[in-house]
Amino acid sequence: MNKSKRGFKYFTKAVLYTFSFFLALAFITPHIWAYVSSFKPHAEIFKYAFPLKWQTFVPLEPTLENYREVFTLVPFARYMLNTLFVASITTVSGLFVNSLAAYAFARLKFPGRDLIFFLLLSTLIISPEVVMVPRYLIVNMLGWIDTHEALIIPGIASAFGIFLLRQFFKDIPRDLDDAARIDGCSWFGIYLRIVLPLSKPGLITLGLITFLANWSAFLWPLIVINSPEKMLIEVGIASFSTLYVTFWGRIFAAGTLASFPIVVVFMILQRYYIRGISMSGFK
Amino acid sequence: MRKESQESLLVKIKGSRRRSELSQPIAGYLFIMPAVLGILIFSVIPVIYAFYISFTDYNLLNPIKNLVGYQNYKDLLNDPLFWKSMKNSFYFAGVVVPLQSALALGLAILVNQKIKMRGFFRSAFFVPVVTSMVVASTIWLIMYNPSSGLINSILMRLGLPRQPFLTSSVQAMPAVIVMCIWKSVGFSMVIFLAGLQGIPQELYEAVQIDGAGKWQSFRYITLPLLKRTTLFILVITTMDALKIFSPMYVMTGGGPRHATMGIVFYIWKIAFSYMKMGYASALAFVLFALILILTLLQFRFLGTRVEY
Repeated sequence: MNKSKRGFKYFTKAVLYTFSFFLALAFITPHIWAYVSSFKPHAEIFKYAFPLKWQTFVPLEPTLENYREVFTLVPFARYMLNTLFVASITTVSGLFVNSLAAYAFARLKFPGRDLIFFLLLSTLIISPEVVMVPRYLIVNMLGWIDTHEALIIPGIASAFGIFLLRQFFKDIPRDLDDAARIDGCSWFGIYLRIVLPLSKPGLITLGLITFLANWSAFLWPLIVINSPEKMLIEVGIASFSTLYVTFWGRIFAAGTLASFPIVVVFMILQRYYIRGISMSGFK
Repeated sequence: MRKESQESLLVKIKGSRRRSELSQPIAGYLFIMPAVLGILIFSVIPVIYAFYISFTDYNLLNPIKNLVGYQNYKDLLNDPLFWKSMKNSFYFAGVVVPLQSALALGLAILVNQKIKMRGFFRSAFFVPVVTSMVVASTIWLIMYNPSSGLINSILMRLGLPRQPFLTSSVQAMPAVIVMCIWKSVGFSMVIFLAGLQGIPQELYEAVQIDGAGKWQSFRYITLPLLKRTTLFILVITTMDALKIFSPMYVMTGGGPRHATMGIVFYIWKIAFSYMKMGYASALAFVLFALILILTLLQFRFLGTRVEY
């Protein structure tokens, strides 16, 4: 490669690098600004709001006042606990119910298996927004309005979850199944002792996706829950932001509290989540 | 078959069926039952129920329910707010789907290059996906503040005039669109990335030997081989775009003057502010039919077999 061509290559690489860098920076600016501002006292936020200075991004008098207010003005800790409770129960139950079904679809033979699976997949087109009204009425009939059951039970069975796990299960070699069968293992035993332990990545992936979806759930909890003691965190933040509309510091503090756990969990289990998304792209 | 003969051998040896052993079909049905039941009760039956209610004038404030035939559907056709919300949803989807997908592809290609810190870049573009829609909308709501928001602050620094953003019926929707693209592009990017990494390097090397340039290899190798991934992304993004709700609730409440009221927001308003369940079900059913048709169309036009 001659000199000018090599020079050109380095040039394009540098341009690419710089461009990506600024784009990435632009992408994370909202979060950084919100995070930093959550530690600024109310007056300071507006003092340096405009025009843009470096002080806009640095808390000159860092304070935890905003966070304190978030917990005292509304039952925010309660919101977080409720959401943790609902998300955890839904995720764990969902993993069990969906993996059992996925195992049956991946490994067991029964009449109509593929047809039922196909029909199940086709329900993916039924989205929560479309059925929110009848679901609400059904939940109302069951007497579950304003209870956590309404949040948990409808969220357990998931066609997507079954699809995802079945993909993972299909990759597990059948010889292990056969060996276990010869040793007298029951169908449930194979599921419990062979398939489940070997599909930890798949379970973690689905668990993460489900947990995140439940943590950030908004529309359904908005409709179904009325009392503040049962409220979930996203609905809590929305009402908090309307109530304290000019108190940016507080709002940012609430937002940070809501996002921090997710971002941390995500950072740790990143590769599972991303792999899960990528896998579902290969239908 | 090998398995059957092993089993029959076992039966012969042990002389009888194992105790408390479920037959394969029964185990199969039993294992799928909880999940199938859940999906039936909370997905399939609601659709049928919604269909039924859409033919009544069911109102939660009024216990009496009458069958009113096609009245709800007739009302909807004559409802200017329905058409406005449909227009808004199409406006939103029409901009977001192509723009976000193209941007996602670009970012995926960018992140796929062998540059240092590409893990950082990938995470930077993906973090908005992980934070919730409500928190994202709240942050951007403040960023868009017409007097002291961050964006206007940056504009002023650059010598440009302040913009009304969410308070202007013209700028509100684009403002919401920008936020949504920022939030979701990382998701599509990751899927494209997986698709890109599935293309064998040898193909690129082969055409490079034949003298093909970067643009040509993109057009004749990358694009065709990403067809399936692209279809998946287009379908998912379209469905998500038509179902958008939280940003509108948090950022604008559907305004100003219904400029950002999407169809789901309208359904929610009718059902849970006005309690008109019958009408809301009719609206929801129209949305359902719309999504169904669009998805089928996308599969028809973009779901072709790809040859190497």
